Amino acid sequence: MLHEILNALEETLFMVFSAGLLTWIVGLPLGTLLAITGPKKFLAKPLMHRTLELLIGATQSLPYIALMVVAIPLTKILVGSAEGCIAAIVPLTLASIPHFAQLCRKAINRVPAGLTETAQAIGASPFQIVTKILIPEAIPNIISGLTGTLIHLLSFSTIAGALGSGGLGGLILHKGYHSFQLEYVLTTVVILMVLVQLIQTCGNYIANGSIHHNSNA
Amino acid sequence: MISINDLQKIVKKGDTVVHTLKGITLNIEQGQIFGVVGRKGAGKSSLIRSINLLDPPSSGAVTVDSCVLTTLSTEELRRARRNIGMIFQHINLLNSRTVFENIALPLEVSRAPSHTIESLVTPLLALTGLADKAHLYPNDLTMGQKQKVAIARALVLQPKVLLCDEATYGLDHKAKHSVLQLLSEINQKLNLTILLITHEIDVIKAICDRAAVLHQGEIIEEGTVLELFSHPKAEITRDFIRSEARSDLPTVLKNRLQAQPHENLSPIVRITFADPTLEDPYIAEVIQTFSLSINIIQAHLEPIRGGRMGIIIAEMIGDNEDIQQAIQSLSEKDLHIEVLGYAPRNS
Repeated sequence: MLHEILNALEETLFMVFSAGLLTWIVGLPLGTLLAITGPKKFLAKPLMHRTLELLIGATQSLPYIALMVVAIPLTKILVGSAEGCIAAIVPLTLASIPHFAQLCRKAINRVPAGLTETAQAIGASPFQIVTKILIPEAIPNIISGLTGTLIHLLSFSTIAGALGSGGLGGLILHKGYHSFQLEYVLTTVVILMVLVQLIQTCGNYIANGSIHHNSNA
Repeated sequence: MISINDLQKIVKKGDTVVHTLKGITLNIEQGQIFGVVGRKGAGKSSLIRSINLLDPPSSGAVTVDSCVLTTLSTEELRRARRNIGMIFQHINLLNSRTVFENIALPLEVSRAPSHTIESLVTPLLALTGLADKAHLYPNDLTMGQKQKVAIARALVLQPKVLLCDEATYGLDHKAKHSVLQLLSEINQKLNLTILLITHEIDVIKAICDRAAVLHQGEIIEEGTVLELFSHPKAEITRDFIRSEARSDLPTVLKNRLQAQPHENLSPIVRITFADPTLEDPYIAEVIQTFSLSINIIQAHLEPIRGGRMGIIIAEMIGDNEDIQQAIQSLSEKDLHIEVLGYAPRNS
């Protein structure tokens, strides 16, 4: 039993953190772009802004189960198969990018407009404004956003597991639903709860560490 | 050093068109502290933001250090802005950076090598008196200290010009005084040209050489600070000077004051005079020449940049004809005399 649970845990962690990493890589630039192209922002581009908003809104409104099914062809192209925990990373990432991008956008929009103006006054380029001012100032809020996203991913990964990608979700389905072995279900649930707490605590710790004192950011 | 020529700014807000700057022309010489004073909505912010084109004007030319900014490309403008330091009402420090790192930001943006960063930031920490605060974060500082960090940040690229956008607004009296002191100091030490905008006439009085009064997008009066205070021409300028509490009338007297002259009323006058005039005994001469007495109700002398200024509020007691002649005689001298009203005689 221990062996099975550890295997499943490993798969879950792999799915969650790989998808988390990909979400960070795609979601942060996407959210930033969404923030700085908005109306009255320093790189205001109405058409691009509207398009991104629509795209993100549409993906966000899709239920996760539907997204998994819709993503099958893409998963097959990217991974070669639509099953297993590697394949599950594709829909997981797709599902969390819009959510995380929105959080990044909010975090960046909360950076006072005066800071962008100051950056322009010292001759900073748009890229420097983003990398030297907006993201560093928004980082505490972005990290709390990432914490939430990872917890979402954990919950999505159990659904994905139940649909054939293994992990703790798969374990609950097989041992719990199909053969009603309660000890598996209880252990898995406890592990999931501990994981959520762990992510939350680590996230808060890092986010607080990046806030410099009684920040008004 | 800064030359602004026929600056116009027209903003469309929905259907209404607002003309925020109406043909502003100004010349500010090297090494001067030039102040623009105006009320809220006078166009001060638009004016100062159009100098480094943070808020580009609709038409007109801005020249800083013989570089016509209004004709530059985006990239050229970015480089030219490094010659123009700016500080803001909202200070705008990065909370994620220490004092040292905040001051170093413009150097990082212009890709200065790290050894020059150290050697340029350190003297500024000393100049602004923040040497022991270098590794603190902005949230550990007082407002006055924060604005000094912002001043150091604005100076780190060794600009030719410093723009101050309501830089002392919201600071307490002590912090305001020390920030103004610092601005005056860097103006002298670095021979830096400073343009500041404010709605507080005391800021102008404390540190400016010259000043202009901006009202509804137009410069309505311009001159040295001595000229503005001793001979204000426009009504709005007089309002500003009057808003300096100490040049105003005591409330008791204000309540008794009447607008029209009358048999039993004495005129109450305000006499404003500045440095060279200060040495001459005009009042004594007037008392001797015309047979009248002058009752000084309130008088004070205060330092302004480049000299001192005196303001006297006095009651003129005597024969009406003598008083008229005395006022006439005084107004021919190099001082400003204004009849504020008429008060009942204390007999």
